Amino acid sequence: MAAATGTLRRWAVVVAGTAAICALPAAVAAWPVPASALSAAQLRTRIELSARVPYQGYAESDVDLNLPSLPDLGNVVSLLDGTTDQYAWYRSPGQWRADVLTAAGEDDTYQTKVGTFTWNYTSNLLTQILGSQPVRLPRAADLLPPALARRLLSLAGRAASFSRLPSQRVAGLDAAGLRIVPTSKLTTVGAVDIWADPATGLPLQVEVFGRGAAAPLLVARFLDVSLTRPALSTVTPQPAPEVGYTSTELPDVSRILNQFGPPLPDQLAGFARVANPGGLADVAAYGSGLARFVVLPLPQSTGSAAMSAAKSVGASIKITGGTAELIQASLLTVVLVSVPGGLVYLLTGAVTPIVLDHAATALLDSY
Amino acid sequence: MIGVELVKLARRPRNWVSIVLLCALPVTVAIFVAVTHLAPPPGQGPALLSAVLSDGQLFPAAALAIVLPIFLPVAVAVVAGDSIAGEANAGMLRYLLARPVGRTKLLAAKLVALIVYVLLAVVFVAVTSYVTGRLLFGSKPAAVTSTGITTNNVVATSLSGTALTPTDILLRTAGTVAFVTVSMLGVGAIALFLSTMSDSSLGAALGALAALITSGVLVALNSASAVSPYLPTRYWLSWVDFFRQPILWRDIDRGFAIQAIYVLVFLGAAWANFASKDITS
Amino acid sequence: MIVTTQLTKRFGHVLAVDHVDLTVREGDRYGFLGPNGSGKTTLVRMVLGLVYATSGKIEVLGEPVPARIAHVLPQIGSLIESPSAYGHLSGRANLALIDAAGTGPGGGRRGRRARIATALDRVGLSGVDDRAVRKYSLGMRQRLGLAAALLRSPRLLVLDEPTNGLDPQGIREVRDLLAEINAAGTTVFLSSHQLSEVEQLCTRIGVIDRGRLVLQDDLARLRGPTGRVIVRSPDADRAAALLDGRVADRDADRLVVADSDAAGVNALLVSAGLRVTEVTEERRSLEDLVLSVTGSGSDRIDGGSAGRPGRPAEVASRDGAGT
Ligand SMILES: Nc1ncnc2c1ncn2[C@@H]1O[C@H](COP(=O)(O)OP(=O)(O)O)[C@@H](O)[C@H]1O
Ligand SMILES: [Mg+2]
Repeated sequence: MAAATGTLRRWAVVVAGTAAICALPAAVAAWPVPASALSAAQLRTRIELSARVPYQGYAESDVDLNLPSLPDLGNVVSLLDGTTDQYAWYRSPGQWRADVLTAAGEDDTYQTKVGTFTWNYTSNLLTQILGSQPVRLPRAADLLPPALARRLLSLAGRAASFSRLPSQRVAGLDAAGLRIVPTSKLTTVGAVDIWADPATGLPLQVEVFGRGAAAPLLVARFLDVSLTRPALSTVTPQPAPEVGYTSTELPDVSRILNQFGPPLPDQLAGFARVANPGGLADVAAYGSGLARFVVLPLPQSTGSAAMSAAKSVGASIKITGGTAELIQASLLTVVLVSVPGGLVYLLTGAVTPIVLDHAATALLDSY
Repeated sequence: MIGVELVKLARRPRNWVSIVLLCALPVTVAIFVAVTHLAPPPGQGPALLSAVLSDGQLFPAAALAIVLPIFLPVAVAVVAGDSIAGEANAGMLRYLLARPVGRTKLLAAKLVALIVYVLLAVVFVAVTSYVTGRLLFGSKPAAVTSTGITTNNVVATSLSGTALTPTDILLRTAGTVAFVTVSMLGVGAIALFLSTMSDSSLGAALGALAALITSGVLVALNSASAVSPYLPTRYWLSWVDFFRQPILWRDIDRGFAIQAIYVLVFLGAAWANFASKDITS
Repeated sequence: MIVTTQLTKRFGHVLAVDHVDLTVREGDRYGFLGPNGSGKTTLVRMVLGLVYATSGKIEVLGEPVPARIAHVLPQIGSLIESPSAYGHLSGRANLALIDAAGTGPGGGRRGRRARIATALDRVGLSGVDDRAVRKYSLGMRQRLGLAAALLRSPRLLVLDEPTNGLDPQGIREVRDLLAEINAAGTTVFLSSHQLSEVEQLCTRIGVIDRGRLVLQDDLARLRGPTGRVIVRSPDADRAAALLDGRVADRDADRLVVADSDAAGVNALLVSAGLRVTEVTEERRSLEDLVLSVTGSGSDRIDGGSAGRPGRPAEVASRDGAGT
């Protein structure tokens, strides 16, 4: 009997201890977060001005756009459909580094005063990207919460309504929430929620919701962050002797863009072209706020491959003057249209299909 | 009592056989890689194995990566599963306890002996693979960096593309040894707990391995991502973070912490079960 | 030395030890007798703190067990059910490990070698070589187990079936050894299912049957005179006539006389000119006594008429085992 009560007491101690350990994360999460007194406008301004706030931290983005895989876009598709873990060191807009971490390697991007470098462990290659990049494909660093939040804010511009969300804890910091609801009915984005450090405005978590969706299609957040300035040596490439070195211009888009397509018009189906000083003449973005789409010409080979890939996953739509392929992903809409002369145009953006339908028609018209 | 357990550990031929087998696996891999010069491409296969062709000094870390997923945990589960159940089977448990050896003390001594065993195994693997690596792959002579600086003390490249000096490699390999050792303690604690539950060493070892395999499957399963940070194998592979520049401590710290929690919980459970159990073996 | 009060142990449905009040006094050579499966080992394990009682109290060396077990055990040497050792190590290495394992006084590194040598010597293994215990004979293992029990010169020896596996010569040696140790002041508690072993060594016995202590007394008292005298005489007929009325039983030349005074009977017969071959007080037979208070071994599983023939009913009957 004595033994039985002793056993019970011991098990009680162990079970209670285990429960306490297991409950710890939940308890920390449930611990009330002090509300921030900032208004939505104040918070928004702070976030917009946070580009100079240094930080280093571990971020995870979880994107679920259900994009079909298109040839030559593999990297982008995996970025926009799945989980990306990266560690970022950010000193200033011109000096930062972001490492995409994989189980047995990494893909790093360095931004230095000299230029942009990428390091790929698999190919043992450090690549310098020469010149400015007027156009480029999305890269992992774009999904870091601060970069993504500021970009979405600037895209949304004034064509959205802003409101405060209750504060929540992100990576151990109390973060003030801001909700952005686009006013335009033409975008597929229902809302964008941003949580930022109220003192510095540094965005810590971003969630993008589809129209009417309860669960976010994109979540980018810090799992660990410290608002300290990383050492300069950390954000400067220091290749080992064995490392190969190369340099390139427009590393990603050069492969898939036809740089010799005809210049694009200033207006497309009533949407104004977004000013992009120094940009390429044949790549353009149209629209305003989050209701915005890009038009890019694909070279013959990529274009026809993309076309046939789209045919198998998308829906053909009839437009005046020809046909186009429509791919409707969770947030993004993609339309591929062939124009006379063999060129294939890719139109994509977080817009409703009807927008791209009209744009494709207008594009065909211009030929 | 700890001394007694260490003597028993050292005088048990089986333990040495398992360590020799553990050391033999990376050596075998090294021989194949050295003969064929075909390492898995970087970023695939066991971490860092691709890098050893250019320098043998990274081989200890690669060797640990080879034994970490299966071989080492199996050996640890067998040794830990045997700790109490094996004594019961040999009929020695009753004599030890009647000596008297306090039951809690016996558990603690078994845990210490287990830690020493894992450490021995890991260090032996590291040392033999260092020797193997130097013999089969050699070490790099002085070289000139792309920036034109002569570096006569740079021998390998980190995952971040930066240079690692021999001192770097030594320290980081030591970190890996510590991390891999600690990574095994969670399994060890589970097997130790099961060893107090059953008089069958094999049953205890298999139970712990079943727990490990379940953990491994869940870690790989996206839909189980909510629980994965709490699984014993979740941070096993995080030792590669020692070979990034700068070292990413986040997952390494978490790996240490999660193992500490598993040891605490299962040692507690072992204690609760064993402290007032009827010894009828 | 050992006092249990209403000690009970239940393994699920099995009542292994059932309200046992056992008393072992200092200096006793206590024989704990019982058929296989009667609960001897279970009781020994409870005394040593290995098994926890379901109810009841145990006091060993004046201290409550299991509460103060760590205090008590260093003064006890034990052999439980069968000797055990690490098979891959030598006998000496085993003893060294066991000696180093314990807590309590007298277990230091200094003197370990001497302690081991003494213990081996006492059990007759002084010449043992370095071969692994795995290669020992059963008898050698038994001796090694005894040596382990004797390592720290205990005040109390608790031995569960210590002569299992020994040859008659070995049994005798162990008996002599235990008598010698007892003479030097160590209390010996020995459990056995062999009556003869207990009878030859012990001063006091307890008999357990199906978990119940059915008898406990000094051997001398149990084997005391029955109050009758056995007379052997070639003149049995005349003797019977002379002792008329007092002859309880007769078998040829052997008479059982209902008289407790052997000398008186002898004088009476001799004075009548009768020849007397032998006159002895009749003493109780331990075997009969034990059989009369115990049932059949509880390891027997008799299945009604299909079972093997049991012992004679008057002996096997549990009703006779008054407690
Ligand atoms: N661990 C156990 N679980 C269940 N029953 C047990 C256990 N140990 C002993 N018993 C039962 O208790 C009874 C007494 O066993 P034991 O003390 O070993 O007897 P003995 O030593 O006199 O031969 C037996 O009926 C046996 O079956
Ligand atoms: Mg027994």
